[in-house]
Amino acid sequence: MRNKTQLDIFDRWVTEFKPLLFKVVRAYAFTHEDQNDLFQEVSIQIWRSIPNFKERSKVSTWLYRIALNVALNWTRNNRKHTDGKQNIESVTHILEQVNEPVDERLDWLYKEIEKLDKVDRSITLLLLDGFSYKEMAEILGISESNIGVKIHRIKKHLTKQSEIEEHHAI
Amino acid sequence: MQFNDLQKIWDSQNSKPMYVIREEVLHEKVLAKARKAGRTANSTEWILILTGLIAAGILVYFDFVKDEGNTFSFISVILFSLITVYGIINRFLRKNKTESFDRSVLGDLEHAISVSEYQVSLSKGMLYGFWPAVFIISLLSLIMSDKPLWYSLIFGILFIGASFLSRWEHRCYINRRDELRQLKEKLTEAPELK
Repeated sequence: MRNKTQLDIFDRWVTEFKPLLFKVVRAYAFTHEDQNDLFQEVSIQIWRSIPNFKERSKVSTWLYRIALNVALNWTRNNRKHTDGKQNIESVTHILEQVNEPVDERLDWLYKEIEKLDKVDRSITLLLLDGFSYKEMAEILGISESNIGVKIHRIKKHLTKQSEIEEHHAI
Repeated sequence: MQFNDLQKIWDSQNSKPMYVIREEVLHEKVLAKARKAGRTANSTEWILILTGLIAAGILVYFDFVKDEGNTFSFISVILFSLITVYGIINRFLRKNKTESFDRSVLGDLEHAISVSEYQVSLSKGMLYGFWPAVFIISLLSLIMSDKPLWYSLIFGILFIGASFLSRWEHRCYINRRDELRQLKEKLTEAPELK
């Protein structure tokens, strides 16, 4: 594949699916440095995956799988920003935070997602983004019935937490 | 709050992204890192392969052309050839790994586990089989060649350093394999409905 074609596809995917990528980044990385680092890793894997994309699946499914895969591995490997030392290469950020008013309910939801273990976090993102059991099974590689059990537990947990939150704060 | 309400909160972020992407920085970093990763892996593998080949070649020259070889140097030729084979296998594993994009998260995990299991067994072989063999053979070769004692001492120190590095590498591979296994266990476990 020519570099120019690959770059065009990359730009189109990143532009069109940036909300998806941002969600994964925010669910798995909690400081701005780490979010930049994870976004960079996800972007590199997306770039590398382009020649392998055979259009057997939807682009969103493909990108979610890559992003989740990188995120699951990234939390395992990432140590570099936790000790306060910084790589010079990472000083120039790819992502700039938008100065929008903070949506407190969305913030709360992300905090609840952060508390889940990393596999449940993946399922929660897919669930909230409206993926079907079949699509989730395809992305994660586990059975629909297994997905169903995990989703039941996650839904129950999140609605219970929201009731507690409403009781205390709203 | 019902789950549908949570989904509405979640969807609200689609219309107002939380970040702006600096495209020029993204292009620069992605292209640079993609190139750099390939180059680093390539040169590391080639250094290992060529080191084994050159060392084996030099020994073959002295053993067969100059006819100065002994049993131990013949065995060393085999050991250095094994380093070359090790480098080639590592290169193959890396190339193979990059072709695993059309799988599920579980598929990628299983692939990563099989690669890491292979790396653990290779590094175990290096640590407990290869390095001790190289040490004994080279030490006997040094003793037989009537070199001063400090030659053997320096060689011993170098061997201890290499063993530490090899042990550290082996530990890294074991940790990686165990973490991947735990992740797979977590992904495939089916909790009871309560």
